[in-house]
Amino acid sequence: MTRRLAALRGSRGRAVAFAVAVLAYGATGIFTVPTTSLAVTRVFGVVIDPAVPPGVHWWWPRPFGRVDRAEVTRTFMMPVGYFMQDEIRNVAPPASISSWLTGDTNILELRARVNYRIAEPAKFLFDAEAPTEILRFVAGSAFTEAASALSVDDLLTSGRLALIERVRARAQQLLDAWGVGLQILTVNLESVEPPPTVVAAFQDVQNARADRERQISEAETYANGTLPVARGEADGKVSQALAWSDQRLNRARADAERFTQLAAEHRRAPTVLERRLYLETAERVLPRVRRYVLDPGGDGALPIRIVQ
Amino acid sequence: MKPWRIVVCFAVVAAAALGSAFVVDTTEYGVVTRFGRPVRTYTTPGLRFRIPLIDQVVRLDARLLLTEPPLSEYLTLDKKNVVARAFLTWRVDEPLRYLQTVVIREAAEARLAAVTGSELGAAFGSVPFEALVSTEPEKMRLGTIVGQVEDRVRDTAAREYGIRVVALRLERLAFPQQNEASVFQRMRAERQRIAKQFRSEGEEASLKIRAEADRERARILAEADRKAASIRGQAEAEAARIYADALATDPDFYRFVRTLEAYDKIIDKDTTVVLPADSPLMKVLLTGPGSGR
Repeated sequence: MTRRLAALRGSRGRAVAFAVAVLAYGATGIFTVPTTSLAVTRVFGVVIDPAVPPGVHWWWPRPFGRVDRAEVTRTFMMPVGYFMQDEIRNVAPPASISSWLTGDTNILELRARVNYRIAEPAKFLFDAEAPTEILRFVAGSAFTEAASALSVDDLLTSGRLALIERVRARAQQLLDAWGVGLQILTVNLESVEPPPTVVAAFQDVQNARADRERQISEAETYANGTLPVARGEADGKVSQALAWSDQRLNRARADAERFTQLAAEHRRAPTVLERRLYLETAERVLPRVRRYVLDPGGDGALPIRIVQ
Repeated sequence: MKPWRIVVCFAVVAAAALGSAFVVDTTEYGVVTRFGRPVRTYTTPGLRFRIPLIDQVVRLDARLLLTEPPLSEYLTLDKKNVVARAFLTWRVDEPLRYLQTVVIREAAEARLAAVTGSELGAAFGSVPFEALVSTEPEKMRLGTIVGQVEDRVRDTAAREYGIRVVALRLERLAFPQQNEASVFQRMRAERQRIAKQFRSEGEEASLKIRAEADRERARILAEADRKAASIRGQAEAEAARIYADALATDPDFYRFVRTLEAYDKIIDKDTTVVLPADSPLMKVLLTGPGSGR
């Protein structure tokens, strides 16, 4: 009886122990997904749920199932044309990393960063061995393709936007085609510069461009100064002429008036007026000249000194 | 049945189950070999079984793999040196052939690199440099050339190694180190030419603007002169008309008055005047009163 009881107790104890063990094992299948992430669940290597949302979940524990998480809301950054560790240690990247060949066979140093996120966790986690490395090479090749078709002047000035857009579109197209699960958000061109040994020559072109603008603006200043002065001078000439003609007409009118009055006087007493005018003129003229009066009875010969 | 027999049976079954079951993950392929001879290939993930102890499982990476052959120098048709770095993304396509021909990943990468290098060499050697790098779209054929290389490498890899090349691209195209000095020299010369051009353009534009301003100034002044002359001319004509109108009333008297005025002007202190004694002026003086008229 006691043995049977003990056996019963013993078997019940084993059952409880077994149940506890099973529960404890099952509890290791509880997992959490942070708000920034999605999780992917697998059973025996087969992807079951490619997008488990944030929260607390249960999944088959190992060795039957596996859970992997990927941060989908975070923006990651991939440098192009330099390495992050070089940047941190403030070391210039090797030329084979930083320099690109342009369409007109110049060499440019180009630094960019590609901002990306994980768009499809399952693809990102399981479809490619090194998705971010692939992204680096894809971005590099997109830059190579775009730069080798653009001129150095385009790349340094107006072509930057075109370059960025081309690179972004091209790189995304390749990533999608290869199923890498990454999405490119933006491509930032941090710097485009000529190599250090030729930077002075490029700077001189900038200076020359500025010189050209300066010369043109100086000439325009000259023109803007000259023309108003000329217009003023022209106005002066015209108003001088107008003033002169006013004067001329007034004098003419005055003269005409005077003559008309004189002529009226003359009509009344011609002889008197004529004699008076004659004598007045003689009075004015004769005092300033050398005068000789010849006797009509004489022989009319002039004294010798008149010929002197 | 004795309890220990049950336990032994159970243990044997469990061991057999554990030894025979294996998982093929989503990231891999499984090839089951029996004494080294492949018997089954699993390309999809899941729980699989084998005969314990006898069958071995070889796992191959099923993911997209990246290979970057080293930077190499090539010669174009017009004997220019270029350095190119290619990269390939690829997958194992036929696990069996892959296992038989290359065995391990390093060997596969070495062969892909070799094929890529020789195909790129052949492709670059048959085109001029400007087909690779040019601002003129009709000359530029980099995309097509790399595409052809990609196709050839893909064919070879599929045929011989059971590899599917997903893509082959150029990560970088550059000049060899020893050519860089001459490239920089050329860049510098080019910049100097452009700078000079800007400066002479500035000079030209400046001279042109100044000359135009001067010409405009001359034109404005000439125009003003013409206007002034015309105004003076009109005034002169008007004055002449006024005179004519006034004088026409008594021309003889005018002649008399004007003659007197003229005397006033033309006779100065150096003039000698000879007056006859019987002139109207002297007659009165010499002959006395009453003779004036």
